[in-house]
Amino acid sequence: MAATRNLPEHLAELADILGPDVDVAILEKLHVISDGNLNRAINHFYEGTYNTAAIPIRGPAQPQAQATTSSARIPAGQKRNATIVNSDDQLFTRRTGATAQCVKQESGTTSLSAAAGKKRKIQDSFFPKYLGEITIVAYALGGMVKVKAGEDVCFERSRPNPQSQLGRKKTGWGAKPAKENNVVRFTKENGFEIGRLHVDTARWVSKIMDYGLVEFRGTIILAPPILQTGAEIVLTMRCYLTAAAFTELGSASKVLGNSKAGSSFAKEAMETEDELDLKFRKYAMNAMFRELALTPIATNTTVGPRDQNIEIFSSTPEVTATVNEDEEEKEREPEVSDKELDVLYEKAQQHGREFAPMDPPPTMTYTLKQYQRHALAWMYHKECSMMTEGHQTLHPLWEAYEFKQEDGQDLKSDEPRRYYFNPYSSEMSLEFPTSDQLCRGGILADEMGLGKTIEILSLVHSNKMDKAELDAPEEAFSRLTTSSSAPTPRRSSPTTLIVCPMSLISQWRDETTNSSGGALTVEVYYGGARDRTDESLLRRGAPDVLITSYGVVLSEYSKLVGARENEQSKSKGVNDLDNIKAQNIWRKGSALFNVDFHRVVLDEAHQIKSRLTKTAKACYALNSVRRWVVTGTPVQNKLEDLFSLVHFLRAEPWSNFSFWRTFITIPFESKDKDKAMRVVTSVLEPLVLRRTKNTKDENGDAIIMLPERTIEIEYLKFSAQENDIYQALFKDGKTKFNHYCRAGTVLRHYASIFQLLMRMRQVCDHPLLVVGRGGKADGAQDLKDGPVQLEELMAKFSGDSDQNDTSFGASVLENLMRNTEAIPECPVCFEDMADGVLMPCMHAACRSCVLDYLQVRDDKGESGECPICRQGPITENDLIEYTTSEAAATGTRKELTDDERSNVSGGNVLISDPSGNSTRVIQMRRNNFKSSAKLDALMRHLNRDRKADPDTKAVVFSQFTGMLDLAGSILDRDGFQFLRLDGTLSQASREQTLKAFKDPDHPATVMLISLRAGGVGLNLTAASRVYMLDPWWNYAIESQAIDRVHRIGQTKPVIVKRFIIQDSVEEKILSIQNRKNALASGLGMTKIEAQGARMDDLQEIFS
Amino acid sequence: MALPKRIIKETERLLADPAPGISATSHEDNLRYFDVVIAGPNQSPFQGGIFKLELFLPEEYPMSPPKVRFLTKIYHPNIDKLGRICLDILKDKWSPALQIRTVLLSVQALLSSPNPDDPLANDVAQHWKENENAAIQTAQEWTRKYATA
Repeated sequence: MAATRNLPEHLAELADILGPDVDVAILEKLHVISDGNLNRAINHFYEGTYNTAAIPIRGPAQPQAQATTSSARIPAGQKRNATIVNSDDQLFTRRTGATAQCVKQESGTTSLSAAAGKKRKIQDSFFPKYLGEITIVAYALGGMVKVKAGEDVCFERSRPNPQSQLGRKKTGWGAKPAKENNVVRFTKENGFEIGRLHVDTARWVSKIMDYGLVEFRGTIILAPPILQTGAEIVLTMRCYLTAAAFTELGSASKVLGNSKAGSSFAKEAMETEDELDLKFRKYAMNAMFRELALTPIATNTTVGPRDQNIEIFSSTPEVTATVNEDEEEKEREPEVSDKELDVLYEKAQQHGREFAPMDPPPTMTYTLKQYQRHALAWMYHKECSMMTEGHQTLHPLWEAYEFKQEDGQDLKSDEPRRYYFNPYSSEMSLEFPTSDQLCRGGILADEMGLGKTIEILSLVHSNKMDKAELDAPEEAFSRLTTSSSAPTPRRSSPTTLIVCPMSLISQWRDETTNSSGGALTVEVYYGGARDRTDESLLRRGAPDVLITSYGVVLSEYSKLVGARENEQSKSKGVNDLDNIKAQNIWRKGSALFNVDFHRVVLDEAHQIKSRLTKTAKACYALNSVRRWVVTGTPVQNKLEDLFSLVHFLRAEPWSNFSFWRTFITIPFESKDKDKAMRVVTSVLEPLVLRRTKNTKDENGDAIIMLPERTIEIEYLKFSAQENDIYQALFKDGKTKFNHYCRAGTVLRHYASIFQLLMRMRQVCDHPLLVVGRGGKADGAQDLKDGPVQLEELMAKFSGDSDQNDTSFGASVLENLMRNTEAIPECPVCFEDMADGVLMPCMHAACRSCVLDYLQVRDDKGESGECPICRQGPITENDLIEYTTSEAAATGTRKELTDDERSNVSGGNVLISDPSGNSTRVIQMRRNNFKSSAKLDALMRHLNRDRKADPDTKAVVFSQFTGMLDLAGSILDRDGFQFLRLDGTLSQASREQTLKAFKDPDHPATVMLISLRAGGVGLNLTAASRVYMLDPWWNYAIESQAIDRVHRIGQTKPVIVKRFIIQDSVEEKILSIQNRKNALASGLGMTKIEAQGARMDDLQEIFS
Repeated sequence: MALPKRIIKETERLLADPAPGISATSHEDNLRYFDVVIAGPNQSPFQGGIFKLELFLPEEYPMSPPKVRFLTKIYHPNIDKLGRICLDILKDKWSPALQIRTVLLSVQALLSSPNPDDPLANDVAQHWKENENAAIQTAQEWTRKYATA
């Protein structure tokens, strides 16, 4: 066959050896990359390295990777040193016509310009720059090669073979990749292979060569005269830094190094292949520094003993394996126990004591409590102390080194003498990395109710922007604006930006106004009122405080990112019109991002606890030197929750994710918890101020006295009917679960299992929630025909009828209306008729008494009748419920709750006294509303509370809005006036609702809140009773809800009742809560989180 | 088992506002057990008699009727030798809206108008039907014999 192939002469020989099946293109390529050397071409072929050689394998993110070559050639005229330069690439490129962009890194021009921030222009000839040298032992491959001492050699990477490359790409982290290719050969200047480096050396040398960070040049010191296979050769290896080493890593990995807000415009910050690459790079660079015995001339000691740190840091050469574990571990990253949290916060409580308590300027009209003055002092110090530090200090992560002189060569005077190395990110720099960008801010983590808002406001009052600063150009973050198009020059604004959840906007606004008596100007940047331009934020007239929501920040950020992408497409000349539009959006829509705020405050900052969410990224991108994070729970479940906050604060070195993982996450996961906790404590110590309600002041007194709080679990029993429904559901669920278990498909059916669980939990609240499809809709359906019949009934009894028995009915109604004082006594139980019902004969009795009697008769097989007049037959549905109340109050209530009414009860009939002089109003509705164990218990308590003190206000939490609907109707029935807060309310009506609840003159005494809408930030201190209708997976959420009531401002003892149905899923939820390993994040949980470890919980539930 | 409020209230009211010719007092050691005395109604064969009864409120009261029994011997077609009373409200016509007072008033009314058509003591009823005057005479004798102090 070979004979028939029309091969070029230079390939013919190769084709003869390799056989007839080899493609011409491959032959050509082999020829090219081996530079015509037959032996090497054959090697390449059988190693399979020809496919990848000189072809970019790491994607565009690592341009430096392409700087290395698969082979080296000694450039003519350069006799003394063999170098690994890319001339071979040039050759390859020229011959094959491949894209030109992968070549020529060694000149340093491109990479230098890429090294943004290092503004000094360094001459091209500066590189490669001598770093140091090392004596190594290598072994010979054998063969015919002869070498002698003093001969120069060049080093050459043998590329990973395609199989392993493929394996890594395809399987991702899932499978263990094929064995790493670390082989480094060294060759004679003419390209003949002499041997290979010892594997210990090769492991790091190979990486560095792959990245093209350093050029290695070698000289043989000692070699046996005849090289036998495995013979040892002693070499000197000299290392020269290339310009690529100084390329800023920000372009490769966005979370690493000095990554600042600007860089988070980048892709996912997962531990991606980028990060993986960086791990290798870090390992290699640190190994090289160690081998070269380079010692820093200066370090910043704040990080602690470097050697120890580095040791941990570099001791993971088998990174590939680690990564696999990492991924798995991420899913079941251990949560932090309460006890551990206590340790964490212990130190944070002491802050502020070292500074004298500070009073805000008189513009602040509030008087601060002692601990709040401490907080102000601490925050003020955090913001100001850094600014006064005149001299530059070395960045804590960086180390300074001095260039060594290569023998006989002098350093040119105009060249830099020092270089800087960041052992944690393996970045290198010629510029002095200063620490002046250290965060001026921190985490204000006082427990809920201690007045974090006021503390922040006192800071706003105390530390306003200097006028001088307003005019001075801000350069500190110019590095952030690395947009390809010319970035808008950003200027400082005197405004403090406060980002908070939507529900808190009004609270912030009101508090700001109230605290300042007009001394602070405040604006809300939300909804339609978002007409601020960045210019207006720069002027003198800019508001002191600008309040916005996370949603707004996110949406503007998304627009901004979108606009940027558009801009990029514009540079490729796609669609001009679109781009003009996009640009306008980007100018207009990014007021938040075009300005350096005087201060940025994130309230309820645990909203950004996941560093991967867009919201978190949007917040990182906000610009300000003074950055504050306000949250009552800096760590919710995982230590990494904290990372996001620290990253937002830009608190070096901890804002470096890889650093964080190395020192905190990984030790924590690997049972070296103590160490991790120690480190976290030291991270937190300077950053966090946290006091709790129990914190003691200097004198040992509690800093704050709150009224007592009692939380009781009230166990309830299902009624027989409810129990039937529950048991049916439970059996169904159990059967399905067991089926999934046997089939091993539990995880795949997670959603449906959760559906089952959800329904079981809903039945615990009220069977109506699950019966039928909508639950609530069904209830409403039942109620619909109520009023009509009732009206008929009323007509029948209206008194002008001539029937005899109706006059009694009329008199009953009259009695109800007239009899304003005494609550009638039930003829059956002799108690006050609190929840009376009328029978069709218009006799009244307690609802429960009548129902009991009907039941007794039913048991005997008799039809129901009125216990008083024996008129019958009657059924439960014939009963008419009535409540009487003051007319004025009812009128108000009606106005207030029209909305609720329309979708809930609909069965009310209002009867007012025709004489018009009575204030009594009787409400009647058909008794087709079925209560539930929970609702009965709730009403029992509420009625009792009301009896004890009619002004008692209560908050009722449920996670099901359907349950709130039902609670609403039963409240209606018993004449309670209530307000309701759930996710459907607009911001305005939310405000109104909260205001009304606070108002002592407002008739509503009950607030129904959906647990999810009301968990955060609200101030509900007007209430002193809390009823939790259903348990949440994570008690922290409930506790947080309770703290809305039990917080500063609460004057009465707070009594909390948690209703739990006995022998139901709820009891099991309680025990899961207690174990706290929980399906913790509940419904909000991601797939990954949900998997695996939760099986135990499920098994328990369905046991 | 705590005593239902209803029983306490009834007891109090029976004491405070007794029905004419009827007294009922509960035992101190068992508040569900009542000593009852009913005076024989005027114009009845039982006039002048003082009849002792016992009344017990079962656990289910007021959903089930009280148990009432004459302790004093009485010659009455609806009351047997053991003192058991044939009265519909003490059986299937019971309603929880009835009370001790109404029960005893009914018993009193039963004394006024014996109903031999719904007998409990068949021999007495027979006697009543065949010779009402003689029966009434016997009743009067019994009253004198057994129901006077």
